[in-house]
Amino acid sequence: MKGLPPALRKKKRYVAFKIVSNRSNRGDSSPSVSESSGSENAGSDIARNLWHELWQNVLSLYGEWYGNVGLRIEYFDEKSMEGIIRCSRDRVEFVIAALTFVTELGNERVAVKTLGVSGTIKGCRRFLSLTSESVKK
Amino acid sequence: MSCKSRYVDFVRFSLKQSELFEGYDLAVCFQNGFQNCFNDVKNSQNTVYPGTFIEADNVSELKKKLRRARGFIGVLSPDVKVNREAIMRKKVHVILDSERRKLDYASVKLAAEKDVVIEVSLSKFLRVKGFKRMKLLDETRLLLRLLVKFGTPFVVTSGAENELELRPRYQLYSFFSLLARDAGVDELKFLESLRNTSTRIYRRLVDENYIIDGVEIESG
Repeated sequence: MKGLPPALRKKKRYVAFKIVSNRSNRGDSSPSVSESSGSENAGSDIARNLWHELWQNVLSLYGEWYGNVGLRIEYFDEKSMEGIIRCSRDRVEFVIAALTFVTELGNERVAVKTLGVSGTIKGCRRFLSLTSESVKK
Repeated sequence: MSCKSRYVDFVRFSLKQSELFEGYDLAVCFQNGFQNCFNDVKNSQNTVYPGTFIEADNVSELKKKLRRARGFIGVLSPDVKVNREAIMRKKVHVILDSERRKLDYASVKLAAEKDVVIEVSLSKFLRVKGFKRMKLLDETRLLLRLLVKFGTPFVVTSGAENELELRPRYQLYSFFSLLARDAGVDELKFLESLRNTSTRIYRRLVDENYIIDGVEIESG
């Protein structure tokens, strides 16, 4: 619903994460950097796969009743394999659990490590290893 | 006596270095024939300790394997009777977890009396999906309720068989806190119990001044 006063708007949280795979452990990663402005037009395959896998996990773990976690990939950097996910404040732990259960992206085995949770993207930047300027505001 | 909380993780492979192993003070490797990291214990920051891994399908096999076993012993079995027998044995320190492990009400109660640690691992959830995961989650909820009810020592671990099954402590504890809350367990009590057991295991394995609970060599 649009036009809600601030007090009635859904509170958000931002979760910084990192995708760890055997490929990233060996030190080779894709050189291209892409930014995804949201789940619908996620800029990279990895971000799109992650978003899909996350939704699968959320729906299989919590079902349609509790599944409304307000998920959105705010930012993803393919070079460092780090990113920021937005979700609703009441469901942060649900999203972290769903991230924990991500074991495969595409055909590659991965693990998703949560780096930290913050109320703003700016606050979330300090968990990421990349420069703060590259994170979309 | 130092009151600092220490965190222990149990793994099933020889852990070297991993960015996913974060927030723990010690990793205990339960793996057949694992004994190559014994010297790392005092030197490295993320210490690794070799545990003795016993897998048994029946009681006689368990007894046979226990006769030769030394050190910090963990037993893994899909049979309730074997697990109950293992809990009654003085040598056994931990009942390890997997998707096949079965425990009953009496065993959990007995473990509290005998001071045997029950492991609750995350990796079993990662290896299954759908109906099986649902059943496992339900069983774990009940197990957590019983563990807290009887004051049974327990520890939540990654139980990882490879590096990608490891998870940082924050993430692991967050998941199990959510599960415990869902099971109607007091979260603070759950976390406190978890911390106490983890610290005790750490001190038992690493602290040179520690003898048994309440008895330790005072320095200075």
